[in-house]
Amino acid sequence: MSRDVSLGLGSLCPGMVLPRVQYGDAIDGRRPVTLSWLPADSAMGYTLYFTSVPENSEFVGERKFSGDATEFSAQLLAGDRYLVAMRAVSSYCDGPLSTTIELVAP
Amino acid sequence: MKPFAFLLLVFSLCWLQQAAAIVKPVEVNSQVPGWLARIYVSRGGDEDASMFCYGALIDKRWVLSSAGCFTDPYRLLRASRNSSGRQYSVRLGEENDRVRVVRRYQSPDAGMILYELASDVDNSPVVVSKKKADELEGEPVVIIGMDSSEPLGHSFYNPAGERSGSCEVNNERFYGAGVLCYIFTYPVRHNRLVKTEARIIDPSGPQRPDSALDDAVNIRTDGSRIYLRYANPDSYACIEDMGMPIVSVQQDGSVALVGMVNATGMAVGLPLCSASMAHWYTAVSHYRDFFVRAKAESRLRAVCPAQPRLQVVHEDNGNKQLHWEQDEAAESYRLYFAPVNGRTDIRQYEAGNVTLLSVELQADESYEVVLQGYNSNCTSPLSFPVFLGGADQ
Repeated sequence: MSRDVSLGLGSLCPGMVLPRVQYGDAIDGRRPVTLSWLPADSAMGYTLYFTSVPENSEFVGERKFSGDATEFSAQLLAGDRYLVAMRAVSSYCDGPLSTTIELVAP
Repeated sequence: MKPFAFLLLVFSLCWLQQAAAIVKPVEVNSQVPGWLARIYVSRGGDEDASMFCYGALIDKRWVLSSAGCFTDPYRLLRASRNSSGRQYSVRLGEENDRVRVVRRYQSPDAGMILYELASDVDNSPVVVSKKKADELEGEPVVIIGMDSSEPLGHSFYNPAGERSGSCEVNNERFYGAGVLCYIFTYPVRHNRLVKTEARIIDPSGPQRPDSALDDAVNIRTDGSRIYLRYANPDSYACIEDMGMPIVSVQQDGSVALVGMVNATGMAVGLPLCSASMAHWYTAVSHYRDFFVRAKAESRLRAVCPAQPRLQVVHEDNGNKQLHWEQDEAAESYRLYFAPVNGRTDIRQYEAGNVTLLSVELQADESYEVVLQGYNSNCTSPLSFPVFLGGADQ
């Protein structure tokens, strides 16, 4: 059996997003943070998942972005500690979850 | 020392020091705690799983173990060169069924491993001590593991499989491809609890281990390492003891996990067993933040189904059976399939929440198939494809 082909649908699924994090200078106890990423092939949008890192938290939040978004900025307060990850989404299938990134306030 | 003399010494040690879990334990046969974990690896089928490490259940679905086991002294991991093909599972307490591991987390300093189980277990986890390494000095501890009361159950196992030869230990003949004869108990059924007493000591004090090698392989000096002096001066840990929990016994009889046997008895890449070899014990409190972070990462990963692993588990002419593991985040599964030689015609099949599917193919049919798990929020990435062919394909 020929195995030199792969299902066409696979190419419609977005690849992994590789977000990068950049911190700004803290002002009045707030530290600006920016996540940026390169557009993923076939992505129609992006979802950012986040959870705070205390031991007994179960909450996971998410924020959705349109397909042309490539960055997101926020302000961290003193003591904030979050773990975030992203995935690209399309109409057929979503991409794999990115590696997780830890965001820590000063 | 001249190289030849050194090699002779190494091979002599290999020949004479047959391995047994913790040498000269103080107690055997007491009840196996339900949090004591034995970790297995397999390359595919469940039947070829081999135990390669100990660990401790520290939460309902988390098992802590040592990274030292991944030095792979018995070539169990190397046998599977593609690490993505390895499947891990954990046996807790007595001879219970093994629980599948869904993800493995390595601490940032590559010192400890956390295994996330596929589901919560009923066993009570052990409490993890908050005491730091220097706060533990002087504390009496017990190392807990399992040994075998059964004779070695086969006559051919030799971990140095690429070498040729055979050897005999305790009137039992071992064949391997190798001249290096080193017998260990991993493939054998472990059914006795073994306890060894020790005391955590100040490494800069008079009881500091005098082994030169102990310092030479002092991999962790960042506060994670503890030093032991065994109650029985003839006791020492062997390499198959890696991952064994080190506990302190509280006044009410309960135990707290204070450390773990992380790596022992390895020199120049060979598994050895001797009191003078390297012993690396770890204070688990050093990794409490790693536990918290790993659990947070697990929460993020649990939102959407992970990439499923689609397998053909049975083939009988045109009849095929497809199987995949249930992902807790997947409410349903969907198969996409296309003829191998006409793949513009992509079709889909809603499989619901089953994990086993029978397919009947005509003799001239052949398909490429991928699987996707999904919930109302998101989908998994597509599985790697499998190829199904009818009798003529």
